[in-house]
Amino acid sequence: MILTNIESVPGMKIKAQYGVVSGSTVRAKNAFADIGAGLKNVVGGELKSYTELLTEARKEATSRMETQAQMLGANAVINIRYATSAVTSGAAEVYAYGTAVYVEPVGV
Amino acid sequence: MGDLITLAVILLVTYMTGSLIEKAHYRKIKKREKALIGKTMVSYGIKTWDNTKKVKKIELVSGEVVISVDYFKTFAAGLKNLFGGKLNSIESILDRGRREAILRMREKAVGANFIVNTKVEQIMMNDPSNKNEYPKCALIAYGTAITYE
Amino acid sequence: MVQLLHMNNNIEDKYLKVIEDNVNVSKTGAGTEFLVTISAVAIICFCVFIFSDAIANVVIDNMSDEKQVKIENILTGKDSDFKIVVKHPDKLKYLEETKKRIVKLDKRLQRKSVLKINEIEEKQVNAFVLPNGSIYFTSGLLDKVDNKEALTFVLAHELGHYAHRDHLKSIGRELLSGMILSVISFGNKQVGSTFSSFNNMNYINHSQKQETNADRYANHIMYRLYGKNDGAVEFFRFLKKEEKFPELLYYFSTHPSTEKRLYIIQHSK
Repeated sequence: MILTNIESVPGMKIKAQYGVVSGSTVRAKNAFADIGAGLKNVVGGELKSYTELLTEARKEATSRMETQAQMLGANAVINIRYATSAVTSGAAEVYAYGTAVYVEPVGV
Repeated sequence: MGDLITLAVILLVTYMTGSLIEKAHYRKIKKREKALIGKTMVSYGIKTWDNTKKVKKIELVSGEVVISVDYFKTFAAGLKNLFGGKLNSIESILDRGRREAILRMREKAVGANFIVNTKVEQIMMNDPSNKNEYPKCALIAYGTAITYE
Repeated sequence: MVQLLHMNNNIEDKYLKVIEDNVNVSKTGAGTEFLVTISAVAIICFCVFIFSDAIANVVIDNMSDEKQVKIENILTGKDSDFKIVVKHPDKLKYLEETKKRIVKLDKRLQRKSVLKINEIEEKQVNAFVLPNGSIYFTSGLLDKVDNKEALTFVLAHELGHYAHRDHLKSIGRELLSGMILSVISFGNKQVGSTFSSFNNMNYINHSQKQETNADRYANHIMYRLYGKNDGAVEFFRFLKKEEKFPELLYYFSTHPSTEKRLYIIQHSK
């Protein structure tokens, strides 16, 4: 699966498109990570556990989007955008969306 | 002990009402989405399109939804927060809201050939200083509807 | 130009499948998820309770008497909250004498603290002991109970609580478990309220055990003083007449049901 956040796949020609596909997930970290992050907040710096949380959420959302694209028979998702929000405290929501397309190399 | 019973009753009632509403909403969403199969909506812009065809109408369409999380789901999510991981209860709420916003946008573009450059934005509408508020989220989907002659 | 045509004919089925499949929502429903998490929370709560109980028991059992008395005095504060009266002087005198007899039987009661017996103005039938060892009988109880052996049983029950150091152990346990649970919940409102509910349930369960132990202790004292426990049996029969709670409510009470207490008394020595 080719993923891009531009409107095309360089070196490829878009043969067909299948519309918008999306993936989203809401995740949270356990209480100990929350406490650790709360303490770390005092001295500042990177909150490793929350970075990890965001990474996990992004991966999950992306893979769900890919699943949708695969179900439609696409081999690439272009112009992907990520949006995040905080629904409840300590939880991260990641929403990924893009257009599922079928691409072929130029000149084939 | 009375508190516990009250809590259990509230949770049970809100769980039942919540899941009934959710089921009904999903049924509606799926029906409307099926009716729109074949209507093209893409998330990229006009740059890769050619302009040889004559355009009759261009319109900015959008759909908005504000959703809130019910008592049971807020409670369940708060508990799950202790262990971490996926918050299944909230996922469905946001999924419903987003699909509803996109559907409203698409239904506004009556007769259009395509909707291009679709974007979805979301804003939390909670007062950050008020911890007792139930989470609510505003979702807006917008894009350009193009109708050829 | 981009072909906005679909690659194959059965694309509609694929769209239908995407709509129906709903990959963005986990397959486990919110209800199942909730049941799993709440059972896990209950287990955590139970473990914390057992742990704090064990710690409190060890700490209190190994504490010197002087220290215990010091803590008891801090915990009690002032007695002035109660309206102390002397309406039944002869019964109080009898209780005072019996108290001396019971204290002689048990080393755990022979401490610096004064086991003062008081009567308070209150219609309800009740008796209780404060952390510093002051024992209170309500006028309602002294009014209605005339059998002296029954009064001895009530006194022995309260002294049983004191001899077992139930007050110190309970406070130690509640302090520790409250501290652990509030650290874990870390300002999370939902977790906090669930924790306190479960902790309350554990507390009630444990309190019923303490009451049963105090009953057994009192029963044992009765046999040592009189060689029989008729007074205890009569007291519970009297209680049964007095209160009309449905049996089910006792699951939520700090005391076991009177019926159960009577049964235990009749079947133990």
